[in-house]
Amino acid sequence: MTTAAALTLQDVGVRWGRTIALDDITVDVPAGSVVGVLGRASAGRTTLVRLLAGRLPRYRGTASVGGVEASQVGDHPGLTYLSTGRWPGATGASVASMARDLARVQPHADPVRAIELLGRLGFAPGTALRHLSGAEQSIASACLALAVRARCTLLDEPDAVADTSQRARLAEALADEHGRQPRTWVIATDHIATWEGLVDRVIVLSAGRVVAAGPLEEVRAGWVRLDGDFDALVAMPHLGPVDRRDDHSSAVVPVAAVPPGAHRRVHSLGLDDLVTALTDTHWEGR
Amino acid sequence: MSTTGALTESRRPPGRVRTLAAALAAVSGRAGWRLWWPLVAWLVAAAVARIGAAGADRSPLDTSAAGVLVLCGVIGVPLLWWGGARYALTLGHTRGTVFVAATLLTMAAPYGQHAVNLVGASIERSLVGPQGPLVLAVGTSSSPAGQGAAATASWALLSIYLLPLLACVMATVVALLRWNRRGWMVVLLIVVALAVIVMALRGLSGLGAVGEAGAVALWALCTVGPVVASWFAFRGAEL
Repeated sequence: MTTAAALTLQDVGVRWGRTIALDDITVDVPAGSVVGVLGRASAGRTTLVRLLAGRLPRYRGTASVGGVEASQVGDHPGLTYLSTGRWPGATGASVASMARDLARVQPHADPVRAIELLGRLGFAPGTALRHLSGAEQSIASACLALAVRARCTLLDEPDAVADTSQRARLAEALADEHGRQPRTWVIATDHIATWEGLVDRVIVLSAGRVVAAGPLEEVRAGWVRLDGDFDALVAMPHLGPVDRRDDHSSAVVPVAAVPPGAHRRVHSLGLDDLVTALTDTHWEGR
Repeated sequence: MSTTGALTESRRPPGRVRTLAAALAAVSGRAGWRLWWPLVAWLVAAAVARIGAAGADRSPLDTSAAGVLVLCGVIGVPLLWWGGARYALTLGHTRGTVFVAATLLTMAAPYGQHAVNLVGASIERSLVGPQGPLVLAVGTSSSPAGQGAAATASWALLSIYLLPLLACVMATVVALLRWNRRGWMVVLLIVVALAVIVMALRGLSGLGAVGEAGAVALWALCTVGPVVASWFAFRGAEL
């Protein structure tokens, strides 16, 4: 019997030559979580999911998935599965034949379920991969990943170029699959709004570093948007730039810094706003 | 702590043989096209030779089709690794399984293709006779004096040099997968090493039993060495 896998990263670093892709990443994710890996372009999201999928054999620190060191997870079929939306060498393959190929390797994969999920997203089983656009390949790849049913499924930008409807249907399919068989999901995306109702933990990256990590509500509860006088807001600790307007200004500030009696000027933050503010601050502070 | 659910509908992991068969299928490509495409080039070359032979005064003995087959077999190595091995890894096969499958196909496919050529040559000879236009011939020449030398060279290529050559091409491709552009440095080293080894093999052939033993050892070294090096490179490749 297989269970969802917990993720542990301790002081993980990855370099590409002189470029630091990940730096001092320390994160614990309980088994069964739906984790959103968020951040700007080049924040290190793809590197992080590739590392967890065992695609990067060399890194600093320790990283494990379900107790197996990340560099070794490739030797444990069924432990992790990474969907990147790209299938190098899959010439002439149809989505159905790829589902069958996956079922020959992945111990929990369900090709029937894969075809069903692909159908829900509008893909006929005989559709050749080469006839799909980049957006469609990403979505089809994510559908196949759902049906692989690895203990930890990693989706790298599954919706990067998808339209709103496709994103919504993919999120719905993932929610359905998670409801049937809870397992650990890691979704690297910059379309957090798509997954906001589904994600229960976040890892926010900026320039290869973690700027926030933990349960979504905990991360979100620490910050609010406060309206007020521009100069007063600038004097307070705040994330990102102070939004200056004629009638009133606003800024993302820590809940603890909200002055007494200012609660009528406080607004809760959308995750998109918070991630933007978190990454903007780190970006400016580089 | 979030929910930790048991995954139902899990199957028994497939055995080693089934896993290797699945990896071989994945590396070979849809309908095994990465294995049989050289035969298409071989048939085309044979057809061209046959058309050319139809207008000739005397019966030609043409080895161009066999040559094309050997060449395509070598060209097929990058296809097996760049496309097939990466596809198999994407499906989730372990690196060890993919390496074994891709190495087996790298080494065996050109010989399998050559076996098809030999069968074809045999059928051709029985159909048109030894004096007929033989376009699938191996190791023969149009001049009687050159036939012996050409036969020796062809069989030497297939029995001695092809396997180390395939191993070195394989190591080259894996080096490129592992080190990207810097892999060309490894390629250069491999080419130099290959040239030295080939020359050493030629030199040792005249030294009697000791020379023969040395030649066999060198042959094994330049076949097994690139395979072992390929494994270490493939294991560390960021694929």
